[in-house]
Amino acid sequence: MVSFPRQASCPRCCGSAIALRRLGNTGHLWTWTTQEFAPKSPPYAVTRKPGDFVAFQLGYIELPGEVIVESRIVAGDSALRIGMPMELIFAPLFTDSNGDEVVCFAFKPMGQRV
Amino acid sequence: MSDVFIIGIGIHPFGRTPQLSGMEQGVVAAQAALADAGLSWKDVQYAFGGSSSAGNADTMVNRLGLTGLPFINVANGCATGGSALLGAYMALRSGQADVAMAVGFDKHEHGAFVVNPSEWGLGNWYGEAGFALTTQFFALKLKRYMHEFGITNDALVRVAVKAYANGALNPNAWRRRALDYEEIAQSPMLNDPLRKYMFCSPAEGAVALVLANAAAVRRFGGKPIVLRAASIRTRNFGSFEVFSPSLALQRAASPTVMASRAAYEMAAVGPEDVDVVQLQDTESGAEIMHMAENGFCRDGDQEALLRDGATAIGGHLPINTDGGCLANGEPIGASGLRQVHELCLQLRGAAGARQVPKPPRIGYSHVYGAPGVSAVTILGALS
Repeated sequence: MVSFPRQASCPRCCGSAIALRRLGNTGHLWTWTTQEFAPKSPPYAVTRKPGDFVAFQLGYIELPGEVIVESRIVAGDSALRIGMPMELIFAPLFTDSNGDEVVCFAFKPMGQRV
Repeated sequence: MSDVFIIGIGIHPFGRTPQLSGMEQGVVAAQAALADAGLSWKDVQYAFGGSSSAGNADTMVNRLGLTGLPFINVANGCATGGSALLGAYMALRSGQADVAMAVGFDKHEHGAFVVNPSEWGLGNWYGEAGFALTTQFFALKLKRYMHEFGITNDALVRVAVKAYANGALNPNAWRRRALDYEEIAQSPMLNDPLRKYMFCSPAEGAVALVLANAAAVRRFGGKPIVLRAASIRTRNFGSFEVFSPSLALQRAASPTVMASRAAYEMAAVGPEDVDVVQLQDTESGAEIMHMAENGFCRDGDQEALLRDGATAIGGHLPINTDGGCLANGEPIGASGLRQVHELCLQLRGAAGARQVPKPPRIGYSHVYGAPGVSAVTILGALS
């Protein structure tokens, strides 16, 4: 039984014998959608002037034998289709008040240049 | 005899009412329900009520009357109305009261709901990264469902066409203009495959119901409808729900499936016995998926049912006869009770221009919402 993110007890059996593990970096696309209107901020960390919102993609990636993870998707010019192989990347999300770039885990179609 | 009856119904029209607070709309609905039942507030012995964004329901006693009755505030997300109804049902079944009220109201700001991830047991990162939107969940679940069961965009448009057509017949609805197919199909994409006019909008409105046991029905008369079942269920491990950073590899039955089965068992009826249906239609795909989850068809059969008009008011499986959430908007605390209000009108034969032509005997209502909660009621006409 694998869950993400880590938590202090098992969501299936309520047991507390928990171990950390490193999830796989590849999987396949289980479902996806687009975000084509600006999420309200907060909670969304990316603030831009109205009209400057950049749509993004997200979905669930099935990591074989482990768990299905919700993730941002960076697809470049690839058309997304359920079942396609995907690999983990880090995608820039926003720049914080210290000027540091904050990144988010994301997946891209296997082999896609982004 | 422990039957529970709905003897009075009241509604404040849904939509935008800038001159009234959400709670004031609740008072309007409560007084309308009492008038409909021929009762006064002092006859009510127990009350359950709630809103998500419009205050504490028990404060309404300032306006309704300070009679000292027990009044329980309910806060259960999209199942707030259903939970209030369940509370009133249990108060009557357990002999705590002869007459009880369930009331729900709300007033939301414009645009998508603002979600604070920590209120849903999630880290702030979930909102910061752009995941904390209920609209995404419905699109994600729907995209997978369409892939597995061959539902097309045409079906999504047809659900919305029906909703606005029904809303146009409902004087209490918010969206009262029928939209044509192209207007919906060409509206802006919000979360692929869902477009603007396929989503409901947060809004305002209020509904109250007066419930009574058999002794009170004999005393007060009225127009009783039998509340044959009321059930609520939350998530099973493995079901696919709103605000899930991860999912198990194997799917389990949804809260809707579990609440539905429990309600059919309580009412001793099956989906084939139901004459008029109200389903959670946060967006048009939700209505399609919920048709199957509530047992009204097999997965994938929705495409043909919609093409044949089966779910229209004149069809053999009329769904969301009052326009549903799409035409009424979504005041969270009130939506579940709006469905029951509509079923009571239909079972009384008093639904006017949107009356189901074959006199209905059994009505069914269903709500679903974050973080994975569903409430179902089954109503029956008196035999």
